[in-house]
Amino acid sequence: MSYKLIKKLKKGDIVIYLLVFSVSVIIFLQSFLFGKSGTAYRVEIISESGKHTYSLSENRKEELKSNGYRLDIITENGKVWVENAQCPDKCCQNRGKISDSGDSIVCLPAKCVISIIGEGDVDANAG
Amino acid sequence: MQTQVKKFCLSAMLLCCALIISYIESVLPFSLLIPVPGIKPGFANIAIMVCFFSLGRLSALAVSFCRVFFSALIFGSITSFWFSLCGAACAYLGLLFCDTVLKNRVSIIGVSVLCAALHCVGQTVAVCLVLGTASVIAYLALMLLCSLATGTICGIAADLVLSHTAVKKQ
Repeated sequence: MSYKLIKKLKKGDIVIYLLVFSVSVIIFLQSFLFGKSGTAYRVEIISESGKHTYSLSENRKEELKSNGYRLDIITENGKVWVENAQCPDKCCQNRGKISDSGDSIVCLPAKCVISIIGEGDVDANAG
Repeated sequence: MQTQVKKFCLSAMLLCCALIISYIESVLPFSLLIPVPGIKPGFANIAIMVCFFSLGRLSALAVSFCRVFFSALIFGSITSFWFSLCGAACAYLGLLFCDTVLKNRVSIIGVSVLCAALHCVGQTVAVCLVLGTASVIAYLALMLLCSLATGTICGIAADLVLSHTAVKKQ
C-alpha cells in the first residue's frame, strides 16, 4: 500500500506545521534565555504543602510528601534529582538530574514541581 | 429515523474504539521513551476525528467528552480527568475552527497536527492552574514538537479510515 503524504498535504498544513514548530522554538528560547539571567541558582519546590526554596549549592536530601505520594529529592554538587518516587508513573525519576536554571521536574501525581531558578527571579516566577 | 439510529450506533462504536485505544496507551510505558509527563501518541483522537468528519460536530463532541469521562473513570484519576478535559476541549475548538474557518485549505493531517498542539496547550494551561506555577510551560516546547509527529501519524490514520467506504459522510 502506498500513501503519498506529500501529495496529501495542502498549503494550510504547511502553515500549521510551521506555526506549531515556531511556537515551540519560541517557548524553548524564552525559557532558555530567562534561565541564564540568575547567577546564584536556587531550588524551588512547590508542592501541596506550599512553596519553599533553598540554594542549589547546598547538598541535601529531602523527603517530600505531597498528595499522598512520597518523593526523595536529592541535591548534590549543583544537581537536583528525584529518587524513590512512590508515584505510579515515575516520570519525575526518569527525568534524571537537572542543573540549569529554568529546568524543572514535574510530578503530576504528587502535584509538585521542582525547579531551578536564578536568584533574581524568585518573585518573577511567582506570577 | 433509521439514519439517526445508525449514527448513534456508529458514535457508540467509535467511542469504544477511542476508549480501547486510550487504555492500551495508558498501559504502554511511553514515559520511559520521553521523560516528559503527559506525552502520549493520542491515537484515540483518530476515532474522534473520524467521528467529526463522518458523523458531524455534535456526535464528535459527545464522543470526545465521553471518552475523557470514561477513561478517567476506568483507568485515570480526578486530576487526569481535568487535564484531559481541558486538552480535549481545546482540541475540539481546533476542530471547529478548521471546519468553519479553514475548510478546504487544510487536509486532515494539518487538522490533526493543529488539534494535537492545541491539546498540549490546553493540558499545559490546566497543569499551570492546578500547580499554580508557570514553570511547566517550558515542557510545552517539547510537547509541541512531539505533537508534530503524533499529529501527523494520527492524521494519516484518520485519513486512511475516512477514505474507506464503510464510514462515509452520513
